[in-house]
Amino acid sequence: MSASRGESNGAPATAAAMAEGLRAAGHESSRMRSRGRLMVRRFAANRGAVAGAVVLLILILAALFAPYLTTYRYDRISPLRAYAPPGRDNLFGADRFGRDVFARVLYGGRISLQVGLIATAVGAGIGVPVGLVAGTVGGKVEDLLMRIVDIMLAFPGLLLAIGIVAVLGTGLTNLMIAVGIGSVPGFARLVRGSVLSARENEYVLAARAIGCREWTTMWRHILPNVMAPIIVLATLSVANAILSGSTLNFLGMGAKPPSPEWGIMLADGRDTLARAWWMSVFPGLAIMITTLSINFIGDGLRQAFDPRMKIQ
Amino acid sequence: MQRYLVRRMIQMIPVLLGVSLAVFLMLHALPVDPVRMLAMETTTGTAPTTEVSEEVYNNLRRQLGLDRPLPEQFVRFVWKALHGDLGKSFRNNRAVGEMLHEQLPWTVRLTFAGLGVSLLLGITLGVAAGLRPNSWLDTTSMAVAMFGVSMPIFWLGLMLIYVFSLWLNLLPSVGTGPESIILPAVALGFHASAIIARLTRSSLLEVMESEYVRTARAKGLVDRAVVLHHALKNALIPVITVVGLQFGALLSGAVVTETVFARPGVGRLAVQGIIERDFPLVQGFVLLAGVSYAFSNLLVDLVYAVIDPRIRYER
Repeated sequence: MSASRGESNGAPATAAAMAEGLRAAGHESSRMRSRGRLMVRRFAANRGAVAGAVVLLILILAALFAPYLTTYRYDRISPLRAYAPPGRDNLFGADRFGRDVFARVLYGGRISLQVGLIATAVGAGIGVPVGLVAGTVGGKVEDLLMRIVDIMLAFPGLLLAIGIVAVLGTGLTNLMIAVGIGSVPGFARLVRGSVLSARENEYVLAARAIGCREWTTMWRHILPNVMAPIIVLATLSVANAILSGSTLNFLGMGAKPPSPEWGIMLADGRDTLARAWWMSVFPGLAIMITTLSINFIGDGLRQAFDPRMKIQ
Repeated sequence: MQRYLVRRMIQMIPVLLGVSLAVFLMLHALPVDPVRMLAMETTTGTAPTTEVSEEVYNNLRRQLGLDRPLPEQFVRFVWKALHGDLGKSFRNNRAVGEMLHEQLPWTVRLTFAGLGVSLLLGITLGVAAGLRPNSWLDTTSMAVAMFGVSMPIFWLGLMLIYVFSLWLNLLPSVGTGPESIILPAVALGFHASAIIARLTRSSLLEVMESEYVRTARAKGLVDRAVVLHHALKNALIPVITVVGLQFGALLSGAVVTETVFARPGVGRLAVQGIIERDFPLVQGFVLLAGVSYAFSNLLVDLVYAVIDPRIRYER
């Protein structure tokens, strides 16, 4: 969680030093650019991360270009091909309605990637401002916000999301919101902690000294400097959201059956495991490969930004 | 120690109040009117089409105590919950407390079995990786851990059923016999073991650098003795803290595991409750989960304070 990298050492005694500190905090400085290059090099040296990025890219392209990769539709029922094993006609076999499992897995990728991105956007969209405000404003506001976060953390793991689904009602949209809200505490705590350590830096002092208002300091100077851990957490949180989303879908709290969502497909294949293993194996593999590749990317980003960074 | 215990207990109060407030507000945050829903259910069965008469509605509202001011309702809710009264299920009119109480032992057994698996597997992997950093054993162990965090519990469960029950015919996939807990416990524990493995590894690496380990080596102890008697003991202290967190993960994982293996338990009850919109049941479950998580964390902190006396004097 250590995002505190002093841009200049020692107290900024002169106005020139302050100006230098401010410039260094901006993202246009040459030092920042070379650090960017260093990060790219560190990321590229991490074999797991690069492999993860390649696999994820393939998965995204496969989901986007699903109609070009298969002639089957994910909801086309063909009773004659029910339970057809994997083979030339159905690459991953067919389910009990004769629907092509390969096509369903491809189209299902669209849903899972969407769940991962939207849920993370919800989580970061609420959590980051909450953490920023709590860390910058402090006082009673901070106390109140962090108490709410603590209460949310009192419901472990998936239970917070499950509780929210219970309130909002089942359905894919509600599921994404619920999973997203479930990730709010993580973002809020991380950002608050990073802000608390970043605000001790000289460039924050310098920004205050030249008369920046609290909000300007927060958005223009503190936020860019705590971005690294936020990006890492957001990446890992996409993987988590895909996993949680498919779990809630499996439990019947999200999308409804004709949907090719991977969790739904697994729930479908569960009863016919002995007869048609392919109905369960392929969607599950898809979930695992997707989350695995994103987790590898997140790990690589963490090491590229700052090897000492600790998240979760 | 006693002062620490008292202080830690007092710290629990706002958490427990917050948890019960959140659970209490669940029913009031609903986009639908639970009273109307319940009234329709009880008068017209499962197909609520007709409007409920104002009289029936108001009677039911009074009966449930929902006509009182909110703060009074909350005090009542907490008071009743303290006495084990969690209201009645919307579906079968049974006491929620009783329903949960019936199913709880199954979930407790599964959670502890899962915790056992995760500790055994996690510490083994972590020690194997930490002893020879950057060796093939390290890479393999950490890869297994990465699979653990990325694999959906329900899928691992299904695959275990396929291999060990359907294919090899070794273990039962469903049922309630004593050996029926093995597969669910493995499915549940594998996920949690990943974090324990990573933590054990980094903690062991740190301890192996310390001076007392060097001393132990210097006086001629063999590697195994150093690790078992000196390093591991201290390396496992941070692992205890995550056990509390893992307990929470296992608790929510049990919800999924119970469904996959068709085991009885509070998790499966709650899943049904959510799908059938049985709010008192869901409220009861969420409250139970939150409170037991809080107590498990308290227990872990106390164990931690007993093992490591430095903790007691902090703050």
